[in-house]
Amino acid sequence: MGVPAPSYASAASRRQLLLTLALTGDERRILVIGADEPADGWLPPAWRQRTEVCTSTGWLSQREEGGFEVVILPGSLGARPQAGGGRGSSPTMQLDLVRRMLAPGGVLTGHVSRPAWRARPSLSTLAASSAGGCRRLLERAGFVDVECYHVEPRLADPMALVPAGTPAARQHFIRAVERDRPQCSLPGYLVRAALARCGGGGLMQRDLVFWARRPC
Amino acid sequence: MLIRVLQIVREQGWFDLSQPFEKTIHFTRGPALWMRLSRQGRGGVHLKFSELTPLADEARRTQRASLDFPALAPRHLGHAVRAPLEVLASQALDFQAVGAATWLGRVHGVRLVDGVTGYFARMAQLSAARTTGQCRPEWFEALREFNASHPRAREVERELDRLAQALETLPAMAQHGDLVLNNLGLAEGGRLVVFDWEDYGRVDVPGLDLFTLQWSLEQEASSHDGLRDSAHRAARALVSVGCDALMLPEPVYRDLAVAYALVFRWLKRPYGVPIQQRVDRWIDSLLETRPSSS
Repeated sequence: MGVPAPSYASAASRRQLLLTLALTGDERRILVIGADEPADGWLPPAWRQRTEVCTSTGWLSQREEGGFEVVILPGSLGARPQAGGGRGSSPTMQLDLVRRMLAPGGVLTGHVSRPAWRARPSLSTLAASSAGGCRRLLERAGFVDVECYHVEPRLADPMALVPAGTPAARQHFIRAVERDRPQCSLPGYLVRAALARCGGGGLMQRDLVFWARRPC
Repeated sequence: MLIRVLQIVREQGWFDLSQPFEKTIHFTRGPALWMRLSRQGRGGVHLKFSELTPLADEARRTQRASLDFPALAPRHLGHAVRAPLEVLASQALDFQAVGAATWLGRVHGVRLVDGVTGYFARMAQLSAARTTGQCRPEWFEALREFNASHPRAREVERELDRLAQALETLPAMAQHGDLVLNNLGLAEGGRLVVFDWEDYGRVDVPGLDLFTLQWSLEQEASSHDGLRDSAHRAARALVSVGCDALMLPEPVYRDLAVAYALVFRWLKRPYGVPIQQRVDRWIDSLLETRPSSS
C-alpha cells in the first residue's frame, strides 16, 4: 500500500495541531509554563528546539520582559502554585507576569479543564475553567483579542473547537445533541437538548482552549 | 495557521472580516481542517484548509458538484494557494442534522426520501446528457491494487471481478462518494442539502451512493431500539425508489453490494485505521451473508 499520506488520524497529532492554530509558524522563541506531562508528548516536534519549559510562574520575575513570541499555559491558568510552595500570587498577578514575558503582539495560548468535583476545586480554579471566567481573567491581566473555545469531545482527542458563549456555539451544540441522539437515553437526550437550546451546551464540555495577545 | 487562512479569505473577498464574526473549527482524521465563519451563528462561509495536502482536485470536484446539483450542493466560492497552505471555500448553509428519526417523518411537510430520490434522478439525467458511455476504468485498477492486501483477498477478488463485469455495461454516473446521513442536512423549508463533495466523480459506478446511504440509515437504526424495524423498512423502500430513479435493476444493485463496500473502503483510505476497521467489519458481514454458490 506504500507510505501513508500525512494526516491528523491520530489524536496526538490533532492535539499538537491545536496549539499551533493561533500562530503563523514563524515564531522562534516559545515558553511553556507549568506542563503536567513531559512536553515531548504534546509539543509539535518542530518547536522543541526553540522552546523553553519552566514549571511555574515563580521564576518569571527574574527573567527579562518581552523575551518570547509565544507563551503556552497547558492546563495551568489560575491553578498553578508558585515554585517553592507557599500561598503564591493570584491568577491575575500570575497572568500579568506571563503577559510581560511576551513581546508586544506576542501570543498566549493554552488550555484548561474543569476539575472533577471530588478534587474540591477552589473558586478561582472553577472560575478559570469556565469560558466566561477564563476570558475575564485574561482581559483583567491586560490581554487583548481573547478567544475561548470549547474542545469537543475532549482535549486528548479534539474534533472541534466551538467559540464559547456565541450564537454559533448554541447552533453547534443543538446539532451535536441531535447527531448523538441514538447514543443517549431519552432522559439524557432531553436534558442535553434543553441545555443546548438555552445556550448551555458548553457546560457539557470539560476542556477549554484559549488564545490572546499582548497589546502592541 | 488561522491567521494565514483569514488573510486569504480577506484577499479573495469570500467573507467580510471587518464585521464581528465567529469561527468554529473542525478537525478531521484526514489531512485537512474545516472552519466555518458565521455571524450570530448563521450563514457565512465554509473553509477547508491544509498544509499537508493539495486541494486543487477537491476544488475542481466541489465546483463541478455545485454546478451539477445547484439545489443540493453548497455554492463553490473558490480555491487559493499560499504554499504550503491551501484553502477551499464554499457557501455555509444553515441546516438541521438528519438522523434515522428525521428520515422516517416529514419536515415542513416534506419527506427526505423524496429529496434523495430527486438526487438520484438528476444523477441519471446528467449521465444520459453527458453520453460518456461506460464507467471509466482508471479508478478501478487503483481500487483493485488497494484491496489486494485485504485479509479475505480471495473473496474480495471475486467481488471485484463481479464489479469489473458490471462496469462493462453500466452507464457512467459520477457518485458523491460519501453519501451518508452525516453528510445530509435540512435547510429552510425542508430542502435537502448534501455536504462534503470532495470525492464527487472520483468513481462513476451507479448505485454506490444509494448503497452507502442505505448502510448509513441501517447503521443508525440498529443503535436506536424504537426505530429499528421502521428504519429497516425505510432502507428497503429507499433501495426500491433509488434503483428506479437510477434505472438500475435491483438484482444488479444487490449483486454488487460487497463491491460497493470495497469501493467505499478505498475512498476512505486517507481517514486512518478506525474508519478502515469499521468498513472492514461491514464487508465481513456482507461476505458472511453472500450465498456460497456466488
